[in-house]
Amino acid sequence: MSFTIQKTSPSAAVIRVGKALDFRNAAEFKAACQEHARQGVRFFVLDFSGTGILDSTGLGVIFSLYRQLTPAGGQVVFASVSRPVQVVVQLTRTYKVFRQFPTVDAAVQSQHAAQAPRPTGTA
Amino acid sequence: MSTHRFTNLGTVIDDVHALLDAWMDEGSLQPPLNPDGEIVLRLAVHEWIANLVQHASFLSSEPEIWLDVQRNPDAVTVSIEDTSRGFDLLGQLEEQHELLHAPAPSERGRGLLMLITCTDDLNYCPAGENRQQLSFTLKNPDEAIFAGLFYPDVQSAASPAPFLHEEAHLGGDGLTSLPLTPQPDSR
Repeated sequence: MSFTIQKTSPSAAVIRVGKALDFRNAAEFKAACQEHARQGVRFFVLDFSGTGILDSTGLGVIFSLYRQLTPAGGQVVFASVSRPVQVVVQLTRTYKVFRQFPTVDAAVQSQHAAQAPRPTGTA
Repeated sequence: MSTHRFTNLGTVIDDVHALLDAWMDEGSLQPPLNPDGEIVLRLAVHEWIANLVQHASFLSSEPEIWLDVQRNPDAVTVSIEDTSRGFDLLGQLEEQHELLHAPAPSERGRGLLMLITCTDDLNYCPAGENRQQLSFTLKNPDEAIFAGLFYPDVQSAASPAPFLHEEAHLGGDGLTSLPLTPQPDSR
């Protein structure tokens, strides 16, 4: 029932949530995310593929991460959302807060697109 | 489905999920539940048992939790009994309502609201000396449930949280009609 965190860039990380994010591992999850945020990660992709349980405590630490990141322009997004997590997202209207992507790659690409230098206008 | 008894608070969540897995693999809950109904059942049961594990005060050195799920034509009826002292469920629900109107998303305080949103006829009362019972019925979720989270009878706040600015209406009895019996606060 463990999650894994993989940095994709100095400012981005993908968290594979695993089978469950609930009251049993929420504190550990929160501490790990906070540590990465301290190290400069501002964009977190939560990979919910295969996640069977997201309870209110797990959702709460995700909101905690959101509150930590947003003042600094950071983001938390969801990817590969399993049906059980989608049910929770719908029940709590979390879709209003966290963008969802069909795959982790799509989520990571969205961050790259957001950070790409904008073309300058021609004279 | 018979009543199942659990005595190990350290493993009860895993044990309950294993039981639910077995029922779902066997198709024991279909009908009346569809796959989304099974997901909601798992969520509701998990939230309550997680609440017991984290917050209940068990007087005995051997706490007991019983889970009973009965199939009806269009719903399941769930009963979860335990040997804790009980707690002020209505007070906790009111506290969670207050948290919803915080200016920023709160880290805590959604579990009981999620439970009440998923269920109908929620009842929490003594079931004997040092024994409490939570019971509810649960149907397959429909749009009313998905649209109705958290605002069964709450007035809009002057400055609601930016992501929860729509009022919704919960079907069923809602918060105020819970037939609760005041219990000593065990927390």
